[in-house]
Amino acid sequence: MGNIIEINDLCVNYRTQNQEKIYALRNLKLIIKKGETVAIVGESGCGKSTLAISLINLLPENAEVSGSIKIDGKEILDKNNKELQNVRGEKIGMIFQEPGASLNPIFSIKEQIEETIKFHKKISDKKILKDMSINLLREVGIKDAERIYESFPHQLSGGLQQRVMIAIALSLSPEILIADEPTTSLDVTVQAQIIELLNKLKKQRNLTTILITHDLHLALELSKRIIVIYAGEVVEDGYIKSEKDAEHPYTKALFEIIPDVIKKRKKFKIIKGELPDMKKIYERCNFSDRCNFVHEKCREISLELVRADKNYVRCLFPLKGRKK
Amino acid sequence: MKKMIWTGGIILVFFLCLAIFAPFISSYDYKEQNINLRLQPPSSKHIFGTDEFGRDVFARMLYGARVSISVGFLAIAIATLIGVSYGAISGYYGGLIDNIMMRIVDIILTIPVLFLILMLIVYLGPSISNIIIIIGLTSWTDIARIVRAEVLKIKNFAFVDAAKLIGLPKKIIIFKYIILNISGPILVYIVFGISGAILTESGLSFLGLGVQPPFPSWGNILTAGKDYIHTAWWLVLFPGIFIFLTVFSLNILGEGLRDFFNPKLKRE
Repeated sequence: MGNIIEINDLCVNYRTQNQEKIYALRNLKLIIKKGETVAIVGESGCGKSTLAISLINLLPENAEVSGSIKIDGKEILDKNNKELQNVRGEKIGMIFQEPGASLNPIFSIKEQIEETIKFHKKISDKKILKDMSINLLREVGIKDAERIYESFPHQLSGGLQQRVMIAIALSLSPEILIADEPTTSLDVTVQAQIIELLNKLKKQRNLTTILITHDLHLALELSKRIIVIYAGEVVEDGYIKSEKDAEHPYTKALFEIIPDVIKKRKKFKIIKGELPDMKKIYERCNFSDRCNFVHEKCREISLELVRADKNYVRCLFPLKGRKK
Repeated sequence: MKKMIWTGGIILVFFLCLAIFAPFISSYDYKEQNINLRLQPPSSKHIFGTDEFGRDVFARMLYGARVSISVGFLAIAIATLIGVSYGAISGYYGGLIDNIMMRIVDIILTIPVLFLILMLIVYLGPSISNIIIIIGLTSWTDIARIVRAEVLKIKNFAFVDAAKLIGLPKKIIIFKYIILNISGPILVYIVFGISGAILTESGLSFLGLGVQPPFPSWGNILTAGKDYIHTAWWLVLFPGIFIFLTVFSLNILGEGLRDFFNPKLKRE
């Protein structure tokens, strides 16, 4: 199958008010095949969400972008808003964290779903619109769809709101679904249901799914291919099932900090230190300050993403593959 | 706060009814002169008395209510239309456009409004439609600033991004996702704006630059009465009370609505 998303040398900088630059994404390269499910994992501030909003070219005004993002072979970074209207929604659907804030508080669910279909598909027959909406709501696992259809966002629980968001995102049958921290504001049982729903939908509709999360555990539930981002760069890209498959020290560290409820550790493990200064570009491994396996050479040269054992890794001394 | 909305609302509706049903409430014509009955004090026949031409003051007050209230509403309708679109465009697009548009507003705000209105009326001639247009065209700046500030706040909300993401066009986003979400503050402004416009119209009529006789407005009834203030108190008292009550009702209604839309006060 062909590539649906090709990202090449994507750099995104944010200008701050005192004219400093924050390098949020640095020469990012990424290829996603049609129908593939990918999880993008990383900690806060590493550029995950920037990557997500670049995919639909909705970056804030103070952002500078260079590089290229191709969706189905078409460059989207140089398109204007009018041209993007057809990409957004029809090609890519997106859901966010905090579904409650993502729904317009003054319109009913009915109006919000139908608005989108009406505008994009130019359907105005009320009965067809209603049938389409109710079917969508059923598809995302809402049982009493008829009642929810008439309700307002504030009358629904967080889980229902997120399901409605998914229904809206799917209303134009996009090929790609981006879920940016879709479960962060939901409680654990609802999280599981939403992930299960995403799993079901991606199979039924053959969606290319991109899950963006800080929760490695969640990523493993949904996706085989895991892309780990650190300080605006991909540090590991490959099929990872468990800690054993991790080839980059950062990925391994991420696995180690998953809280283990069965073994009852007394303390939560953490990765010591914090992200490097995103205002600077260092000629060295960005993770070197926090790495348990750091070597002097790590602080001397900047690295490329190269194949180690099975995965592509940005590390001089990967845990598997190349020798130390 | 509910009390304020109710009190203000009821007084306002009362005056609206007076204006709408004027011909049914009083059997007198506002133009009909009767020199024999000039300057009669209030009696059962003329409950607000008569003026210097023997016209029934109550009838003139009722028809005057039509003029004063419609000037208030229509002028603010114009101001709201201009102000909301101006503020929404300025706030939504931001950046240079916003900067230029708001500096223009700042410049307009440095011009004393009343003198501008007086000048325009002297130039264009005092007719009801001119007064409505001129008040409308000179009072949109406040609402433009309020709307811009609210739009700046709302446009960063997640649901606006969500609407962009799903590929909705700008006009739907600006109107349905932003302006309808700030209809509260806009409504409050409209109410205060109407009371301001009614006062402006009364002031203009009082200066003789508003509605011209024989058409009555509360302002010019008051002007005509001021010459007889020592002998015919009813000529100034009733229009004064009417203006006062209408403006007062609009102000407390506006204040009540402002509290109603203020989320911090909602817990009561």
